[in-house]
Amino acid sequence: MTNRFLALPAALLALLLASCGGGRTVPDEQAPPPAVVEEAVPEEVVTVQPLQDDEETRDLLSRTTLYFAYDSSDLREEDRRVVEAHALYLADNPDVRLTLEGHADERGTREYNLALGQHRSVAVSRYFQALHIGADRLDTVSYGEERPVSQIQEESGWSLNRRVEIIYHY
Amino acid sequence: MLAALSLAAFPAPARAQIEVVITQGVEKGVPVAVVPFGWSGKSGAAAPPVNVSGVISDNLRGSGRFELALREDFLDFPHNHDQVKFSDWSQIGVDHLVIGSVHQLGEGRYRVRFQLFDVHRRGQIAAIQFIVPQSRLRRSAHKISDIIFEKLTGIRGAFDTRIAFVSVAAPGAEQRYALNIADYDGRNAQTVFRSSEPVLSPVWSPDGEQLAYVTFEKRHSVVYIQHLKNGTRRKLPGHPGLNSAPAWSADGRRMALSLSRDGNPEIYVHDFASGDLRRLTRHTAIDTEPAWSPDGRHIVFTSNRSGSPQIYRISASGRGRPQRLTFEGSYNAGAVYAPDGGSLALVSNVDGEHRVGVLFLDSDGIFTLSDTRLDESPAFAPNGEAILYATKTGPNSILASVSKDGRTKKLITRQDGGASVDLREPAWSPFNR
Repeated sequence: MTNRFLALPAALLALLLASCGGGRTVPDEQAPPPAVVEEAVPEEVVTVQPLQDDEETRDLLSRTTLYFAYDSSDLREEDRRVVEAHALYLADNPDVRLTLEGHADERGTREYNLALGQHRSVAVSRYFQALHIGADRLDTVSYGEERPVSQIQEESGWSLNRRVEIIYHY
Repeated sequence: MLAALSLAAFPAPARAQIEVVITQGVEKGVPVAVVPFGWSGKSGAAAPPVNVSGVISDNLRGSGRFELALREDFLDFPHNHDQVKFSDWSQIGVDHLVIGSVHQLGEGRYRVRFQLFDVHRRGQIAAIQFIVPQSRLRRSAHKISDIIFEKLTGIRGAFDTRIAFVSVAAPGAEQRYALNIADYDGRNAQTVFRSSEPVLSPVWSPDGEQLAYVTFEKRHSVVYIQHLKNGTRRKLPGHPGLNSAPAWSADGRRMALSLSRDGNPEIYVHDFASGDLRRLTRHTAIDTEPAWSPDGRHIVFTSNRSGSPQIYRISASGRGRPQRLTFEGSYNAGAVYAPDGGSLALVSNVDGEHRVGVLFLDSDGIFTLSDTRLDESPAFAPNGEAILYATKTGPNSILASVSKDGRTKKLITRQDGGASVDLREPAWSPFNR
C-alpha cells in the first residue's frame, strides 16, 4: 500500500468538494450530478501526497469514524486525510468493500435525521469515488439518530453522535 | 355499531402501565356533570370491569372544552330519566348532564345505556344503548364521549380513534423496538411488530386498516406496509440507500417517500396501481418528510436547501418550483397538514428548544403550542382539535398532546414492571368507519 499516487483531475475535485457541501444554497436547482462532468476529464491533474507505511498512515487507517458539524454533511479537513488513507488501502485491496454508516444527533425530527445521516454517508462515498474507488464497492446506510454512541444531551455527547462510521467487509 | 376490532397482535407485556397526566387545562369550559354510572352485575362484583363514566369524564376533561362539575357538589346521583331533578343541577351551575348505567347480561356481555340532558331546557339531547362484550366496554365509553362532544360543540369527536407509536425498551433487551397501536389516549396498547432493528415513521392508511413504517434489514432501510386485521405485511420496492418517510395520499392510491436512489435524499411519489415512481425534487440538499395536503394537490416537505431545515410546498404532480413556507427561525421540520388543509403542525426551534407549533397557510408566523423540549413527530387528531407528538423528559421519550389552541396539554408515559419505556413517533388514525 505504499508509494501509490492518487491523481485527481482538479476541476473534478473542486466540483466534488463543492457538491459535498450539504446545506449550501445552490442557485441552479438542476445542477448536473458530478458523474456528468467526469466524462470531460481535463488533462491537468493534482497529486495527493502519497501515504507511507509509517505511523501517520497507521494512525489514519485506525480512524474509522468521521465527525460532522451540526446539520452539516461537509467533511472536515482532517477527515479528508482519513478517507484518502482508506482509499489507498482499498486501491491495494480490490476485494474489500465498505459500508458507510451515517448518523445524526438527537436534535430535530427522526426522519430529517435519517436523511441527514444518509447525506453524510453519501458525502463520504462521493469523496471515495473522487479518489477512484468504484461506487460498487461503497454501500451507504443511515441510522439517523437511532444509534447514538453517547446519551449525553449536550454538545459533548451530540458531537460524538454526528458521524459516519467506515465499516470494512473482507 | 361497534365493528369487530380483531388484531393479529403480540400479547401485551406484563404489567405495562400507561399514565396520562393533564398538565394544563382550561379555566372556562362548558360546565358538564357526568354522574357515576349505575351498575348491576350478575357476578356480584362491586363495580364493572371498566369505569365507563370515569373514561367519559377523562375524555371530556382532557379535550379542554369542558369544565366537569365536582362529584362532592352533586346533590343526587340519578341513573335514569325518572330520577333526574333538573333544579338540582342548575343550582350547582351545570348546563349539561350525563347519566347512564352498565348492566351485566351474562356470557361476558354488558348493556351500556346513556343519556345527555340540557339542564336549562329540561330536555334530552341524546341517548343510546350498546350491548357489548367486556373487551369493548372501554370503546363504548369512547363512542358515548364522541356523541356528547359532537352534540355540545358541533365538531365530530375523535375519542373512538386509535394511535400508533413506537416503543423502545432499555438497551440490551432483545427485540427492543416495537410498533404498537392503542386507544387515542395510549391505553389498550397492543404490539403489532417487534424488531431488534430501529422502527420509524409509522403512518396510517386513509382507511385505517394498514400501517406503513420504516425498519432495517441487512443494513438497509426498508418500508413495509402491514395489514392490521390479518397481520400480513409487504415490502415496498427497495432502492439503494435511504428508503424513508412514507406518507399516504388521502385517496390511498399513492405514497410519498424520501429516497436517495439518485444520490441524496429526494422526494418521490410511488403509485400503487402502476408501480410508477415519480421524482418531485432535484436538489443537492436534503429533501425529506413529505406530507400530503388533504385534497391531494400539494406535498409539503423539509429541505435544508436554504442552509437550514425549512418547510417547502410543491405540487404533487411535480410541476413548478418548490415554494418556501417558513422564514422564521433556524429550524422548521416535520410539517403535517391539519385535516381542513388550512394550517400545518410542525417542529420549530424556539430559543434553542424544538417545540411544536402551527403555521396558518393564509398568514405569516408560527404559533408555538408546546412548552416541552426536543419535540418531534406532530400528528393531528382526525378532527383537527389536538396534536399528538413525542417529547423528552430527562432521558426518556414520552408522548404528549396539545389542543390546537395550546390551552390544554397532556403527557402520556408508560412503565413496564417499573422500567420506563421510550415512546416515540405517534401517528393518529383516521376516524373509525
